[in-house]
Amino acid sequence: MEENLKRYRRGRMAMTLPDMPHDIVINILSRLPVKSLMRFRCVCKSWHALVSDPNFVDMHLNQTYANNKGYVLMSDDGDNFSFHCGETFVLHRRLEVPFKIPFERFMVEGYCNGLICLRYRRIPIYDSDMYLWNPSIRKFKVLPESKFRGRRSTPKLGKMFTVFGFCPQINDYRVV
Amino acid sequence: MSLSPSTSKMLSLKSSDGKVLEVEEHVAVLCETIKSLVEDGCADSPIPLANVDGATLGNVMEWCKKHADQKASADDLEDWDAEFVERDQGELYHLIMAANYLNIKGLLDLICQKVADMIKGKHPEKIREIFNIENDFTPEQQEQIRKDNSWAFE
Repeated sequence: MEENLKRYRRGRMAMTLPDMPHDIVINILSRLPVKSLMRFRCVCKSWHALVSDPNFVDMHLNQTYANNKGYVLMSDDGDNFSFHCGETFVLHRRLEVPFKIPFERFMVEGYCNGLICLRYRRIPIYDSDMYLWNPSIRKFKVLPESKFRGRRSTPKLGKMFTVFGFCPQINDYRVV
Repeated sequence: MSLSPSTSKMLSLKSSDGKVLEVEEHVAVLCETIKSLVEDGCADSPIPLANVDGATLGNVMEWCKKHADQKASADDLEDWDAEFVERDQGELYHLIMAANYLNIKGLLDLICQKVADMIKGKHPEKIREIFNIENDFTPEQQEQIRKDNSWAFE
């Protein structure tokens, strides 16, 4: 009796994902918050591969843009960072920098598609490491050293500054 | 060919379990699959929909009817949709498959969003149960992934 009921439930209630077209699985997962996706990496191998796939990441980013009005990144004197609603400035969430050195402060060199490019506010400024930080997945990278490191300016180019952004031609991010 | 409500003719749709549903053409053409048939002049006899059962077809056409109603405001549709998706998992699954087969983007996105809201924040074990997914990781692999993303399990 109980076995029958179970079978009935399985037939009627279950989503039976193996029968669902892959496009639909992607459609559903691209609507989830990053925290859920990081959790669902250990559901099965195909979900793990999907969540790490750059095409899926793009789709998720587009979905996020479609559903949100945007956030503003605020920094309290280069120490604490937080996201605020782009319309009302109400606090959305606080961010914790994962590579903090005590008594050091940061400056934001750029912000694009949820990625933050940071540099320690150290003197001389062009002698400090740069970091690329993705607060959504709590991961960061130390950027390779620039060949202009340690030089404030060049006689030919004049004063130097840094720009961080997305470059559609190479479909990747660049720090120039 | 005019698809406006005033001149709309009736179409018959035949479900996988043999039920025939009479639907106004301007409602049925919200399904891109049916729209192509109508445009190609192949929609005369009852249109056989081999992948959609009668109950699901009824639900899909109810959604199409509401969304074909030009008097419905955006707010009205939003409230109506929210109520429409209050269904059990089985019904949602059949609606997703039907919306995909009949190519109704609005309905497909609506149900996908509902399923996403349903599974958001749940534990992987629960997700496997909901979707009948087999865990193909070894316990060691699983532990490693959990460790690498430990903050997501807080």
